[in-house]
Amino acid sequence: MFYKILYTYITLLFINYLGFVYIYFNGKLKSNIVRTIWIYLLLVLLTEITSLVMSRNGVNNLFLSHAFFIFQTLILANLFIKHFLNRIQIKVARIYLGFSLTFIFIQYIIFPSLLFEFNLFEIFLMNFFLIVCSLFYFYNTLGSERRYKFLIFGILFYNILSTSVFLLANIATQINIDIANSIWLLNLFLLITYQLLIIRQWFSLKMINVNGKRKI
Amino acid sequence: MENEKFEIIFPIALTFFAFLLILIAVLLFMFYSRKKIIARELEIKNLKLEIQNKVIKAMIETQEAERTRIARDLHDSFGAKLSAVKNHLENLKGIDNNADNESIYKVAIETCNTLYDNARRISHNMTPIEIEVIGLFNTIQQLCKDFDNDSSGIKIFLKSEFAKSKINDLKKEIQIHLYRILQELLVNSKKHSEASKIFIEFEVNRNEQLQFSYSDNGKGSSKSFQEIQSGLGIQNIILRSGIIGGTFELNTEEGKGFEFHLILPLYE
Repeated sequence: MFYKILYTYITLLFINYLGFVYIYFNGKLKSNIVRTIWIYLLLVLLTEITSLVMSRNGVNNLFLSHAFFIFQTLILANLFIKHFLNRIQIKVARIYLGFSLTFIFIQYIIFPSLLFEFNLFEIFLMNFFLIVCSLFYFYNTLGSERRYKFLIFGILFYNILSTSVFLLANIATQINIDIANSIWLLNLFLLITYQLLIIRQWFSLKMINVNGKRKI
Repeated sequence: MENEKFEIIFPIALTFFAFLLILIAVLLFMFYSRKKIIARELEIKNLKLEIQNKVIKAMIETQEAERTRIARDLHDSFGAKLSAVKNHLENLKGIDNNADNESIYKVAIETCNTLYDNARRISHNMTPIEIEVIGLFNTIQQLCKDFDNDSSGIKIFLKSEFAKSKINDLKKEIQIHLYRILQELLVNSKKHSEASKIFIEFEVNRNEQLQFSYSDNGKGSSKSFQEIQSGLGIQNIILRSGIIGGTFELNTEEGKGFEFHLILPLYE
């Protein structure tokens, strides 16, 4: 059942990737934001497929998750910094990103075994960054049009919930409660919800015509 | 054993700290969002008020322009022609030897005089053309004199401490508004106050601001400021005070008369 849900998730991811590539290359919304979104979706898709293949072949794919977390954060950070944050917020974001990435790299240098383990510090640091950036977006767009609200809400929703799930799962593991399967299943449902929000975002962007105005 | 305890407590503590950070981020977001919304609402409110004031100012200025036009037409055209008619009648009276017609000429000339005075009074009430000729202060003196003559029993005391030249140097629009405010105050005192004395004072304070004070010794009012400002006359006064950039204070109590103070900058 887990793999059926996983395939559903990957299918949704692929549909979203195609959808955003379509509206980008169709010329109607050839913006840097849409380009960043489909590049991000491509990264996620490739990571998920590689991870699935490795998992099916019994290979430890945890080190891939580290690369994924970091690159996902860097791509979305680029999206936020270039398009959604003001000057002070950009400074805060850059400083935070600089410190947290440095911390993570030092951690891996000192404890290389962490590359093949679940690193909650990394998860929390990267996800917290995206949570704060999403909140910045909603703050900045108060009273004005929120063209990317579904995508950003999806980022906020997924990162808050998945961080909470992983942190609680870690505690459960420490007190010898085996909820590993439930956690991954729950994470998959969160990811599917996230992809559904991205689909909703796609429909919302499709309603915008060439002049940047919403079609009635 | 200690190690095991630490391995359980440490993740719990970290988890708690992580949740706390997320909660703080969300609470800060809610706090600053609320602040931004309130600031935005205030900005919109102020903008609406500004637009409203501009519209009212434009309406009053149009009204004044129209009044000036009508007053000039009354004075220059109608008044002049009436004067001419009166002159013709007097000339006719001089050359007509018929004694029976004397009374007719007399009535006609008196009617012309009455019409001329009425036209002059209407024109004067519509707009104080004299401001341009004799200055605001002298026009105010004339207004007070006319009021003295019309409103039996009310004595006006006008005082200006070195402010006469400053009053005359004000911009024309401000002078007209100040004149209208005083007109409105006098009408209010006449209609409602049952006063016997009115005190009007102009002075220049240390901050180079013109202080205009008006008070009467009438019966006053126990109404609240909101009730008083619902009257059209007072609304007019408040609007005009705002247009000329003045700050006003209005005081009245039952049995203690009525006071109005206006401070406006002499220089922009």
